[in-house]
Amino acid sequence: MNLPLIVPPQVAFSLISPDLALLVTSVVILAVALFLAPEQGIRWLAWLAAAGILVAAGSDVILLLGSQLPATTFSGSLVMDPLAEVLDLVILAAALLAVLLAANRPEASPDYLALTLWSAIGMMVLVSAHDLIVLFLAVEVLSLPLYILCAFRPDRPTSLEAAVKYFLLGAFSSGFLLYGLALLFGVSGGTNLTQVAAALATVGSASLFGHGAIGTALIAEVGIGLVVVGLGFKLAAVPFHQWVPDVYEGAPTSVVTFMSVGTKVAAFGVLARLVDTVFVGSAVDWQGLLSALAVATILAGAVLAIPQQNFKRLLGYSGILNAGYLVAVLVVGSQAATAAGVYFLVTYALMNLGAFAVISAVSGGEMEGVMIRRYRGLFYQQPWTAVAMAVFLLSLASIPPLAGFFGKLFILQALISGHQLVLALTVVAGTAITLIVYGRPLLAMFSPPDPDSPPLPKMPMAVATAIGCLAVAVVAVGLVPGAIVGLVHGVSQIGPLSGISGR
Amino acid sequence: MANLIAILAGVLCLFMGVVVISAKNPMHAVIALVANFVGLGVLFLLLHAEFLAVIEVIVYAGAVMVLFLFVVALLMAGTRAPQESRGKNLPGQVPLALAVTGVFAALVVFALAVRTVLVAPPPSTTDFGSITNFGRALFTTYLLPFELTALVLLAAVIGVVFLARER
Repeated sequence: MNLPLIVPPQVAFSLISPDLALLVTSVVILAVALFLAPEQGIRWLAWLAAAGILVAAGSDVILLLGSQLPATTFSGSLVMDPLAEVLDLVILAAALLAVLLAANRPEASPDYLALTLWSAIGMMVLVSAHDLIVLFLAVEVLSLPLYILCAFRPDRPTSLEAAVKYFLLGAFSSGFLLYGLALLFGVSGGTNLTQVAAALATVGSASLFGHGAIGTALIAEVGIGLVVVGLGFKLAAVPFHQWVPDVYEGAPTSVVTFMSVGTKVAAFGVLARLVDTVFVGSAVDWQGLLSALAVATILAGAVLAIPQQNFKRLLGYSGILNAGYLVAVLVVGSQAATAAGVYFLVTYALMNLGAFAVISAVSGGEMEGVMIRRYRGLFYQQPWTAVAMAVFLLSLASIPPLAGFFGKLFILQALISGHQLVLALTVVAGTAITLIVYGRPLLAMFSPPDPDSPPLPKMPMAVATAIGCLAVAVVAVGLVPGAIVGLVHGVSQIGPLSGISGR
Repeated sequence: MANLIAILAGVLCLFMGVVVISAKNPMHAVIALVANFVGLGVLFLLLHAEFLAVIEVIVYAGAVMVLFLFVVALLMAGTRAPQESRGKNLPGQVPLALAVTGVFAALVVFALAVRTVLVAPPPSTTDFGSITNFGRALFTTYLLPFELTALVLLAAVIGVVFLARER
């Protein structure tokens, strides 16, 4: 019997160089850690991880500025376009901050660094996924390390509780996602998004009792629904948000910082790609589904955030609320709307990372330190920290000259030009409610301090620098919104991928 | 003939699946799961997915289930009565499960009823799931998923080592 020769596909290594940089760094960290005594050299390893992330970000920028994009590799299952590269940069920023925050904490260990890098790889692959199997596996690569990272304070029962809750609900959502992907595969007979899009474009309208291939339309509809449910868990959209407050409260703050931005970016990226390449051209009703999800997420997130006493829980609900804005803008289904979503996501990442960095620095790893009452009089003890936090909170509340305002403005613009008036009104209502939400900690910070409150921990230099950079970025992006509009314009040119030659 | 075998294997799978979740003795549940996997293997064979059928029996019914048996046996080594190890149901769990099952059963009936208007599934030739074709697909079209799986396993190994570490 003559065996057929298997010719492996051509892989463009330059296109996946950011992922490779992270992978190599993680393996080096684990290997070097074998030769270091515990407790010794973890700072060096953290700097090594930070250097690896910076190299990855550098190769991302080179790709973004070069002329290679958009391109596909791995037999068309991975697509590199400006959308993916910009979102990759946001993911890398979140990973960098997580590494810096963890460097002086009990959770710091070689495993922590390696798992963070692997999760970042999963997120970066997810925003580039152009194949159903790659999509599912990328979700797993990003989730599995996060489940473990949530448990990185085993001395605390809440940390283990967060890990178990996140793991169980995450496994549950993976089941939904996989079921949906299997149904889409069943309808289209292929796993590449190009094949899925072609098949869904020919599916008849989804009326149950009309003419045409109703069975196929129904299966496609159920498949899309289940995929949205699965990704909704990752995005923390209502009603799939129950895990968020408990996980945010229990997991180490550095991990929450990373996952609150990274997971959201990755889930938005893949949902935007599905909308742009598959949903828009299909006859299946997906807009109603996403609209309902967006309205429920915005209203529930905003209202539930009001009574929170724990700062991490408050930001958890704020994350749910912002996920609602992202889902809302996807309903429009145009490339301009996707670009508005990306702009919003970039500004959200800046202010959310900043807020979590301040929480991490102020709490010093203590559970009590994340309560809002602990922030009373912060301005009189650490004025610059309080000012930075005020910038982040005001930006989250979309106060005009700051970055968050323009993110919200572009989303409203996209919704109104897409004739989604109900969604636009919901976004406005959500924004109004958040003035109350973010106002409370703001007032606490600038009111006189309790005389018997313990002194605040000293802030490490790297964390202080990171907070300063983020605050300056929030102000600068707000003053010169054009600074990243150009970047986002590039994103809006994600062509329909049919024109890209596979490699 | 093939239909008869498919129906028998399907009934075996369903019955054993019910035994898995209803058996009082965890040992019985594990053994019922082995039978369930064998039935699934037969179904894969009927779909011309020979490689999957073989893997299903060797890896799942074989290796994984032996592991399960060992774990169950080790965990039960200290307990007197394995019959009492069955946990309590959550409130409303049984009606909810029945309702979900009903919905899915209705979906299956609906799918069978409208079968005539379903598009034909992609042609599955007899060597569709052969080892040759499987291997070729795995190392060409699906090379990236293959590599990503390695990363998932690596993360799982590191995670287990971390969680099980002595403190």
